[in-house]
This record gives sequence, structure tokens and C-alpha cells, in this order.
Amino acid sequence: MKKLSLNIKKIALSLLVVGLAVGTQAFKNAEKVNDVTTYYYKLNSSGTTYTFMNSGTIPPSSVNCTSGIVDKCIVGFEEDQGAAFSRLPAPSDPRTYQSASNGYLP
Amino acid sequence: MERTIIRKNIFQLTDSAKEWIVYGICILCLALFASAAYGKVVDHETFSEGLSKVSFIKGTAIYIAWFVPVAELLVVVLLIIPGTQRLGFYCFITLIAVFTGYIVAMMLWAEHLPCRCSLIIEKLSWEGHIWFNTGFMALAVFALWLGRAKEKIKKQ
Repeated sequence: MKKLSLNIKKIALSLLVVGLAVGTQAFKNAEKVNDVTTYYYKLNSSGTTYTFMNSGTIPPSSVNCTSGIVDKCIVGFEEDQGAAFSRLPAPSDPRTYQSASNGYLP
Repeated sequence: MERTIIRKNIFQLTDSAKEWIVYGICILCLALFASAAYGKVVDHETFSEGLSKVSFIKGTAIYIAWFVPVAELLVVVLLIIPGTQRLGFYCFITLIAVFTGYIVAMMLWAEHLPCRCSLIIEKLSWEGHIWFNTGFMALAVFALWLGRAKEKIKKQ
């Protein structure tokens, strides 16, 4: 009886953890949806310059991003940063969007 | 009797402590696979598209894109049920080993590496991924070993 009760508790706790993990992931996905017009920029292969991609409310797909460890593959700003800008020093405007992984777009 | 005493010296932890350590590792593995599977199902199109760009799995990408999250969910279910936890750990290790093999193959042969990860692993490099996966594999192996050691002591 004690064993059964412990097993039920373990299953309940496991389900709670699964719920939390899924919830965190869902919350993270929801955060990515942006309802403000954002200016999106992609990082070049040398990791030095971000160039303008497009502006809008939906972030561009980062599927074609290739791996790199320098910085985020795609970043977004509420303010127009021009046709391109250097990664360093970073623009004074805060990023309102950044792709999930580091990398660059060829 | 002597043997039992020696064994007890090796495993200083009580049965209950071992059980909770195994369960803690199980929870970690659960959380990892549950969030990974959810991400792949919700953003399935991106995941599938990413896989289809990998030259050596291009033809089977559509099947792999479904197989991976389904397998992860199956492992989650196996880990949740106490009676199938051991099997769950074996499947977890197998799946993580396959993922690690895939990453190594990608690093060796792929022309460019697609990046699509979630939660804490999004900040890791590909080498970091390998270490991360190896760490989880080691944890699962440790959990299996701990469970087995406990059973052996009980049998004696």
C-alpha cells in the first residue's frame, strides 16, 4: 500500500514536471511572437556585420542559419538600424527579437 | 555476510536515497525530452524543413521529423511509469546516443550545420551539445547502475 502510494506520488510529480517543461517551452514560443513592427538583421559568416533582411511583425525563418558561436543568427530592433551595422559595438537600441541559436545566414 | 558488509561500504547511500537519486535523474531526463518533443511538434514545419536540408537524411527527413518527437514522447511515458522506468532509461540512452552520433556525423560531413535548439541548449555550440548529451547519457547510465546495485543488495 505504501509502495503504491509512493508510485502514485512519483507519477503525479513526473506529470507536473512534464507540464512545467512543456509550459516553459510554450511560454518561450509565445514570447517570440511580436506584434510591433521590427527591423530584422542577419549576421554575416565572419560574425562582424548584421545586414538588413526585412521589417514586419513575424520574424524571418532561421532554418537556414548555420552554426556559429559568435552571436545570434537573426536579431530585431524596434528602430531602423540602417542597411547594416557592426556587431561590435552593439547598437544602443535594445534587441526586441533574437533567433533561438547562435549562427549566421550564408 | 562478509560480502554484504563490503558492498554496503561501497554504496554508502541508503536504499531510499538511491531511489530518490534515480528518480531525480529520471525527472531531469523527462523534462529534457518532454520540452524537446513539444518544441518539435509545435514547430514541426521548421524542424522538418531543417532536416530536409541535411544531405544524408534528405530522403527520409519527413519520417524522421515525426519519428523523433514520437520516440521522445514514448520515452517520457516509459520514464513516468515506475514499472517501465528501467526500459525508459535504456531507450533514453539509445536515443541520446543516436542524437550524439548524428551531431558528430554532421560535424564531420555536413557542408553547413542547421541550428535549431531550445531551452538552455540554444546557447551551446555543437561541441557543447556533444558534452551536454554525453552528460545526460552518463547520468542515465549512473541511474541504471544505482538501481541495479540496489537490486543486487536486496537479492543477497
